[in-house]
Amino acid sequence: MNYFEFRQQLLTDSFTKDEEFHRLRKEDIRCAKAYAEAMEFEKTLKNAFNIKAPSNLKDSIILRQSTSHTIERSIKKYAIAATIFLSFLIISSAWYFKQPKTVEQFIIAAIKSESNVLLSQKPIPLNEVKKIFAGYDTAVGDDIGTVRFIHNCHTPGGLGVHMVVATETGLVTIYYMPKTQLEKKRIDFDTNNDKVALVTMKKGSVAIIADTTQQIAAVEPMLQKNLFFL
Amino acid sequence: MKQKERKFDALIGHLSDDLYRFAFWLCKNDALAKDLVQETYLRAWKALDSLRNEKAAKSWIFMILRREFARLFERKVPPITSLDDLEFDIEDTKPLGPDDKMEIDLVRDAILKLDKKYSEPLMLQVVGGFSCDEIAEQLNITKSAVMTQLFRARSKLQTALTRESKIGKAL
Repeated sequence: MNYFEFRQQLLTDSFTKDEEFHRLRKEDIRCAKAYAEAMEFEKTLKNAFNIKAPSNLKDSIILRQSTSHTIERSIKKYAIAATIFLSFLIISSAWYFKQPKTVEQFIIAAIKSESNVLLSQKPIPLNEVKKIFAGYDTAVGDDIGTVRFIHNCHTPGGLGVHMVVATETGLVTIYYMPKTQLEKKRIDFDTNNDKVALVTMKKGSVAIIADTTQQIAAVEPMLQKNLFFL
Repeated sequence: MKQKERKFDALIGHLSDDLYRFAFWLCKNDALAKDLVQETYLRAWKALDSLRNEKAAKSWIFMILRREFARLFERKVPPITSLDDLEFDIEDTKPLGPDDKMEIDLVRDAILKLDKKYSEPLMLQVVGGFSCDEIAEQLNITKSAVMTQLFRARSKLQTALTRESKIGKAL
């Protein structure tokens, strides 16, 4: 390293750890003088850049971070709420559009899902049956038959009762639909394997689904006699 | 969260003053510089998990500051080329004599007139304390290019200081 290169190094990085540079700084008078001048300049340069940082800088950084966290948290909360609301809206819409538009469609959909009903091996106690019907302001007589399944369920217009009754000739499904008004007093129709009777009651209507019309004929008067609308 | 806060504070919490100085000379405006530092810390907080080498935390946060400056602040920088145009009154860290103060003001004035390609490596070296290798990595240029730019930056400042001093003496 010569004097020119030494000066070049001073202007590039005077704090270098290069051994040759430091040797010259100590041994060469011209280099030592140039180094001393450079150090003066570096001090001025350092002071020129060295301005005082605002005293509240750290506080403002912390404040900005915490504000950002809060905003992020709020955004997350709103996002979650919006997602739940949208999901609810989509599910509700899907459910709504899936619902049968007429009583007949409801019955057909119900028949399709009937295989999922788990029947009780023992008859459902009468007081259980009465309790469920009581929820619809309807009393039940003692001759309602051998009930093997009873449950609250969705029916057109509102909640109702889904019930399966065992007769001598087989199982008969009954839907009590307290909020469903039929256009006629009675509607009979067939699906692929079942016979269906929709019957207007004093309050709402019932759907009787059976294998044969004989079963319907046996169950219908039983319902008429044993359902009392309060 | 507490652990993250402790790590964050230990790695880069102490660099806020240096970052502010660097930001001030980039933005040439106190309010912008404060905003830039705040944004930098916010970015760093969000990206702390991406910091693989904790020893490089200083380089990392300076890099974030430079990127944030380029992304959000560069176009807002007022066109200042003279110390007289600075809206913020620069307060020195320690009391100085009138001659020293004069020299410092002359250097500051010259810094404001420096082209960005000269001032930025110089700021990284003097304010950030980075080596030529680190500056090269920060600016994504070669080490020899950094050395050239540092050489020219100092030459320009020294020339300005000498010229202005002579004018001062002549007066």
